[in-house]
Amino acid sequence: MVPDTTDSRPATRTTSVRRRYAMPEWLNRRDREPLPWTVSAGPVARGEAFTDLTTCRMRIPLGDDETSRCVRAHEMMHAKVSPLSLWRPEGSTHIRDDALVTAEEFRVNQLIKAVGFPVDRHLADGSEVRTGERIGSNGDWNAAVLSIAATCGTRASRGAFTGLRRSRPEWIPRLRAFDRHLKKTWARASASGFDVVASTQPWGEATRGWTFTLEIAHAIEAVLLDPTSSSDCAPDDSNGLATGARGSFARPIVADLPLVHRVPGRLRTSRTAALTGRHPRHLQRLLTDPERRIFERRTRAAGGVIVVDQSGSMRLTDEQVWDMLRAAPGCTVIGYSHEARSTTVSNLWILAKNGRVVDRVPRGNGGNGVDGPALHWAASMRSRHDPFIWVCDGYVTDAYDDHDDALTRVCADLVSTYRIHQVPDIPSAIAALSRAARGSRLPVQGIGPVQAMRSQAQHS
Amino acid sequence: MTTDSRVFDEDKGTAPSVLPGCWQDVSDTLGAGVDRLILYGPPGTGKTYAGLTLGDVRGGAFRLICTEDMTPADITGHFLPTASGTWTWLDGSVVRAWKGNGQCGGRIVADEIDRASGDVLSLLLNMFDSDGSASWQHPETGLELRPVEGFSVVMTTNIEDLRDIPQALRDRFPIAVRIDQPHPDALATLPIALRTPASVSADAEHPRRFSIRSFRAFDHLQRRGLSTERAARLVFGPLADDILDAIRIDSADPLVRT
Repeated sequence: MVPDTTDSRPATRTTSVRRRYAMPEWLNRRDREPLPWTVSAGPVARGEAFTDLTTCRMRIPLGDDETSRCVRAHEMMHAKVSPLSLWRPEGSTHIRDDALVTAEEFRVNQLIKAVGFPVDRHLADGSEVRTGERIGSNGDWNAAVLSIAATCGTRASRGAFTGLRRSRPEWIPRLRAFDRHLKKTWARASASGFDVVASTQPWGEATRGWTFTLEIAHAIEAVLLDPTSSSDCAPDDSNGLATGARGSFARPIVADLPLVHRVPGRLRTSRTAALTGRHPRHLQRLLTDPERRIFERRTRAAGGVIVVDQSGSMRLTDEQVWDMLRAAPGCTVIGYSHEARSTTVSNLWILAKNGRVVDRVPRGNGGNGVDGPALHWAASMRSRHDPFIWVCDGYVTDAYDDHDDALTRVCADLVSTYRIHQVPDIPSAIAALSRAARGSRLPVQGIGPVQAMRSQAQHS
Repeated sequence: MTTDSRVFDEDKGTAPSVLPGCWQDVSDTLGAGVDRLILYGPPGTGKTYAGLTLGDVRGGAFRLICTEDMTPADITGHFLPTASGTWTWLDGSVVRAWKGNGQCGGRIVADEIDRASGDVLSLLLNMFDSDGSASWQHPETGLELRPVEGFSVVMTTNIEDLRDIPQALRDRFPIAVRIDQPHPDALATLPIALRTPASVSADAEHPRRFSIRSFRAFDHLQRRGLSTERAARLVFGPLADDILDAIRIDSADPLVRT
């Protein structure tokens, strides 16, 4: 027995830094003979810890904190249950390596959670938010799916969702549903114990527990994009609704209008650290900022998205639209209106972007038809915290310009997902823009049938 | 005769079906009649026990534990005062092993040979020499003694580099076997779940190295009704938390519960 405190501590110190260890020698497996392990110390950071089952090497953090303990448990569980190779039986040969590795990460995380390690509170290294943001910014849907699966049920999952929500909020509903599906699959598989999911009984070139990993890998593979596809976007449910048929949105046809005039000014308020001021708001910068900018000043920045329904029911005049464009300097303004049954007439256009506006406001085509695609498109142009205003009376219609409850529900969901502030007319939009310019955060709200759907969804 | 390589069946709760390599080497060496053997490696793997019991030990097995304070008297013998005021000669361990049972020489197991002092090592060079060369004159009778046929030596040590043993002494032992895990017979006394840890931990890196004695104590305390946690804290001290985490992870496998 050896004391586990560091040997080189100064004599005057009264506290000691406790080192912890992993004990892979204590793990029993049915599929291989016990072997000696080489364990080395590593930092608590994603990708630093590893377990090599072939050479019996393991790198783990030796800290006495719960995060390090969870990382150790994760690697130990790999040593306990993971097979030596990514074996694919017949029927699973199409599954790519990434999906298998991620599925095994999922199994291991669920197992250590099930045996009592607090992974839902401690298994995270703090890089997840930034990683999620980066994945979303790159439009890497496959990486988002793998990230969500690999962190499912752990604290890291929250960070991953937060980062993705900031950069790709339109992906969140689908990723949430996928996350729930994985958890349900685990709950079903482990309902009667771990006899199968943790089994190391030999099975083919792997273990019986690998059957569960394969099941998860199939689920992951099903939502991944084809690697040969040139698309960098998520398979979008809304696309399935925008078929141009009755009961679905019309296919969006974008008109490329020249943005010829400049509109001076900016709407969005941005806060910047400053060297001078009255109220120190960033005291931490005394330590972290070489220039010690502990005060704050507000600046204006380009930003904000406005989607304008230019259908006949809105009865918008050109003058009203111009008033709004002048009230929204620096914002991206999108107009839309679909001609019923048409598949050739443009139904979506940009009225203003990057401080420039069109020369002439196009007239609407009478119907709505593309409410959902317009909101999706606008959301893809929005930055984090930008105000998102939708000028619409709430009467969502399909490609035939008939009111449709299902499409209204889709738009109601989009209002919640993208935190849209819906207003019924131009004066309300200008008032909202005025509030946004003063730094107020616009509340999420719907109008008419859209709001009714939101209320219904909240109550149910 | 315990050089058998009995095959144990895991399902019957005994040892693995194949004798580990190191023990197979020992079994083959002693079974073939090699009479000078070094067993070295981490403590607690049963080297001494193997020396005392494996192979032909019909002439008796004698143990010699080397220390820095040991004198040649422990090897060859010394005079001892009697109640009648006279002196009598008491044979040392090696001389007794030389004599064996009269018909067959015995086995001397020399533990921790690396700790012996210089003069003891010099004497051992003679006593452990090959049968034709080894001889010693009895100080009382003046008779010249030679080892009886069948005399054998098993030397054990915990050192990992055999160059630490004097060259001349090392030369008397043609075969050295590193023992890196306990004998399956010893492992069979433990519960199934502890056999793998006991087997691998014997040769693990510091501080994850534990001898089979720790596992026996751990098992004993649990059999006596102590909780796993309490037993771990008593036996493994400050490493108990890490071991309990490992046991928790291992509990995911149905093997442990059966």
